[in-house]
Amino acid sequence: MPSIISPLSPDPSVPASAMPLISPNALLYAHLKQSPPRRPSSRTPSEPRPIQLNVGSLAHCNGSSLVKIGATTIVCGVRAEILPVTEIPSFRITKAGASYTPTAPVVRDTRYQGDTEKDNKEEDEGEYSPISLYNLVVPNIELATGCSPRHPANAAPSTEAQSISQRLLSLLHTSQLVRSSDLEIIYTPPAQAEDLELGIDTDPQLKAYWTLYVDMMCISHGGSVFDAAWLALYAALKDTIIPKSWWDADLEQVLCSAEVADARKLSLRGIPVPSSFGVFVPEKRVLGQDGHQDPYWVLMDTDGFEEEACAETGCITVDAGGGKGSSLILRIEKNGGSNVGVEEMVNMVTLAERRWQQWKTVLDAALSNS
Amino acid sequence: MSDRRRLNGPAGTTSPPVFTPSTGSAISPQYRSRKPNELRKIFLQTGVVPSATGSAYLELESPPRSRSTVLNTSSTIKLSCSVHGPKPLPRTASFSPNLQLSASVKFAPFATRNRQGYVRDSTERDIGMHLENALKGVIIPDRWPKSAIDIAVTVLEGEDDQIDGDRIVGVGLVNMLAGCINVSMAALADARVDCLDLLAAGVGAIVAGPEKPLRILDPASIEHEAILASCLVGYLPSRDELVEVWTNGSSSTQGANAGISFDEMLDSAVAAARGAQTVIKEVLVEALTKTKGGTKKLSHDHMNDVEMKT
Amino acid sequence: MPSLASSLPFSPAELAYLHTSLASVPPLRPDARSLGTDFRPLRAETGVLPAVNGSAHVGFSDGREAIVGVKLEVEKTAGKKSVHGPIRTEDGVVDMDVDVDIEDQYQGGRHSAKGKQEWVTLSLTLPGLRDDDPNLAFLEEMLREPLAVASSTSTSTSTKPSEMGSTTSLQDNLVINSRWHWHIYIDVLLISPNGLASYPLPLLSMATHLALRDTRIPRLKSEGEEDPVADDDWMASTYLYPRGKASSGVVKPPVILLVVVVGENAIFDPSREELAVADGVVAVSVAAGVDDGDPCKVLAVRMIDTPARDTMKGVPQSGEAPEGVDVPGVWRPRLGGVKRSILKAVVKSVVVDGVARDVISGLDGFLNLEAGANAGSMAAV
Repeated sequence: MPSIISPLSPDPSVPASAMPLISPNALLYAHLKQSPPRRPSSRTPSEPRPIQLNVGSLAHCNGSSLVKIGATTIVCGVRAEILPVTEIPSFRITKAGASYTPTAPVVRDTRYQGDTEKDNKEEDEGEYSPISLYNLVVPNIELATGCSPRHPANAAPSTEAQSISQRLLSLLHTSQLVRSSDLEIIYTPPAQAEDLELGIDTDPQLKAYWTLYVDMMCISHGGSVFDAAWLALYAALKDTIIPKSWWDADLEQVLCSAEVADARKLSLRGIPVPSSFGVFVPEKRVLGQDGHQDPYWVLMDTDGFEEEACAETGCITVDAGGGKGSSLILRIEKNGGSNVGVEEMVNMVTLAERRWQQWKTVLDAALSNS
Repeated sequence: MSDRRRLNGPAGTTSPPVFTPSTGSAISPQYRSRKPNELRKIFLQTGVVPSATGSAYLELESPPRSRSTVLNTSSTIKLSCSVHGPKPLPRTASFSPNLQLSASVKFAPFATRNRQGYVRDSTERDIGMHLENALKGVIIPDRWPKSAIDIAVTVLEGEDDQIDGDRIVGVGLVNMLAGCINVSMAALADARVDCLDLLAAGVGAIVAGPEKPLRILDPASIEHEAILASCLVGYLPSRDELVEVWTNGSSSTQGANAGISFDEMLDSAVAAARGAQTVIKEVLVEALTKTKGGTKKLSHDHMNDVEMKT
Repeated sequence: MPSLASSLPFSPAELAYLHTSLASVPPLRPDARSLGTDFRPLRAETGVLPAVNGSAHVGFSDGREAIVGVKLEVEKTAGKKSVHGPIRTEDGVVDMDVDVDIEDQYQGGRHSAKGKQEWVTLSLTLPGLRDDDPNLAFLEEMLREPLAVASSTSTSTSTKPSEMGSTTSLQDNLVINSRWHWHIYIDVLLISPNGLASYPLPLLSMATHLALRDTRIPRLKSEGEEDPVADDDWMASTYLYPRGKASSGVVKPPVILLVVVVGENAIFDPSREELAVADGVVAVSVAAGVDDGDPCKVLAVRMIDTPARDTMKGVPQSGEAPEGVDVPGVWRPRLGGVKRSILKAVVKSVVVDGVARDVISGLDGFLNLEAGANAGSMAAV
């Protein structure tokens, strides 16, 4: 029988491409101890991979995007569906201010009423935003597509997939990316229908919400999937158009116009950009006689192989476009290990800002092309 | 029972938007501008998933798309496929002298007009069985005893021809299976799994013509008023063998009154498969010459290295 | 693992013997059937279940049995995709939506007579097989698929005026009026000692065929666009597939024949041994011709994975043969597929040479027998 699998062959030399599988830690250390330090992909430790973006290529979606960062590929599609308020358990309607402005929804859940004034002036939907209350934006990432040997097809969502979906959801909520006013379908009864005696008034009523299902398929898993997933989600939401919709009082349901000319885009708040990093600490036995004192390297935008070798990981999410001249830090995550100090974190924020600039350029180019 | 490992969205049920008729949204049926024996252009690329043993991406030429309506009627087929293996059978599996091939097809939630669930439905399982059957016919299983190979196809966009209805049926599904077979074959070749032949799939159909039924290759459902019958074959050209046949729609063997016979329909499907094969072959040869000249990817293919030494 | 391939306890020597004898001309079949087109005897009865619209019970001589029950339910027809939900008749303006227009254009305004595939639900229960087994989905689809194909191309003399169309399929016969339709539930239960090892497709298909022909639709008291009200007089009900003289253009449900190809031979109704060495397994769904003289029609053809691919190869006494060299009488797992010409020959023998017609007339025999025993049910036709 002819042998096809070469590891069985007597050749003693190990091909270079097998090294990451055999001893990732030693390989990474061998690369990083050069000066200046170089990663196996010949990037410097602080250098992120380039981003490729393509929007609006899927036909059946309200908005879609494809993000490629190195070997990581994510396809994201946004689908908008209608959630009538009658479907929401324990939804309570109160009538707020009489005047209706398009940006300020008038009919609110009672718990949220106090914020109405503030909301008029934009920003801050607070913790009781309908989006988080009723789960109106639903991000899900699917890794079980055979995107890497560690993620076989047809498996239930792995811990990694569940954790990425949750992190995306929480970043969506805390960054308040989507405005709940964009998702409301409000009905203003015609003035002649008013009949105070019968208790019919013509105040605008909230009839339904749009629900955005954001589904991401990871086609190829090459590390830093969270970053790629968030960027894909952001670009897809940016590309999303919501059809013009209204409440039909006779049919008692929401109808939409199929015209693109009537539809509108979502107005997103800011441009949060996450930057993942890993901290590489070589194993003691690998260090051997080199005699360094606990060396470690912070690697920005880790690829799949580096991710496996790094125990300490984290992610900084910044928005550098916040008008006030300085960038905002939206979220800092870090876990596992204790090598990174305050100073390094400050450095990393600068790197994250640079990443933000990179994304902005890519995004603008892609959106203007579409 | 909701899926507790995914985010399920609102507690209430959401429904897809209901559109009202408007002048701009009238869907004008598109007519076939290709010749009856002309295939749609196929875009195929291998090596899209670096960490997989082999992978490929396939896309069909997209029809002209009207940007004025939100409801999109012109969709095309976009498939991504990854191959993992041959790898040792898991310890729990019983001994097998042959390569155990498993293939699966999954629609992305946004692949069809109505949102798909994450759990595989019966259409996906059915297509997966068809694909598995076709691919089992092209591999040489006793080359890899005690091994397994997994093939996963992700449907990013399906040719959804249904005006209404929840399932994707009819010729859209048949075309999708043909795409699945072609993309899987390219990925298998990219994984350097030696096969009997370069398998290719093609679809032939009988459509209602102006006077009498017409025989065409590679039907796109949106281009025809009625598709009377369709036939898919998985074909091994150098052996003139069929590893997969799936026909649907009534046809008789006598060409007399019904017009076109089963045999003729089968021959058109084979012609379509031959056409697809030339594309796959071209792409694979091109990919090979490229890797020979260029540098090696880091994680990819050391089997390839060894081959080149000899 | 496909359960079709597993649990086949044949040694390479047995497989080689079986293959050689089946490939000889004429084939030597292990159960001594003289022709490749011979079928094994079977038992069948219809109307076995009391609480359904139609049922059948079919048993093969190897101990496998299938029971099929058909239930009909009245269901509200969901509106077209564009506008659905609570649509009342007075909203006729809204009802005239785009999709209806399109469909009118396509089908010459007869869209009301077109059914949807979702109205036919077929579910299959096989003991010892998980609900989400792909084999189950594959079998279900195979049984369901030909039902949805329009099967007649002549002036069908049906009981309802709404279906005077040129082609009708099962779902088209389920239309009551523009707002209501019947939903048909076909539940198939297989009882088999071998699981999937002897592919149960012909058995299931014949049982489904008989159950559908036994199915009766209650007579409706309501007319036209009224909400349907059914007559509870069972004697007044009509058959879903009207019975009558074969020459008067009656439509019959499809039948699926399983054929294995061994060498140049096509072998029908394969037993477990014959399946195990098949070069290819083909399922052909056929519908009877509308008139006596009409040939049968092919509705669907599928190829099924043959268990002979995943078998242990035999080793000749003289030592291992080099690859690609076939030693006669030594088993090699099957590679590749079926020659194109052989597949055409299979379809030809089903349709032109009349295997399908023989099977369908055999099944007619069962019904006529029962009809003779129970003249009352014939009176309703």
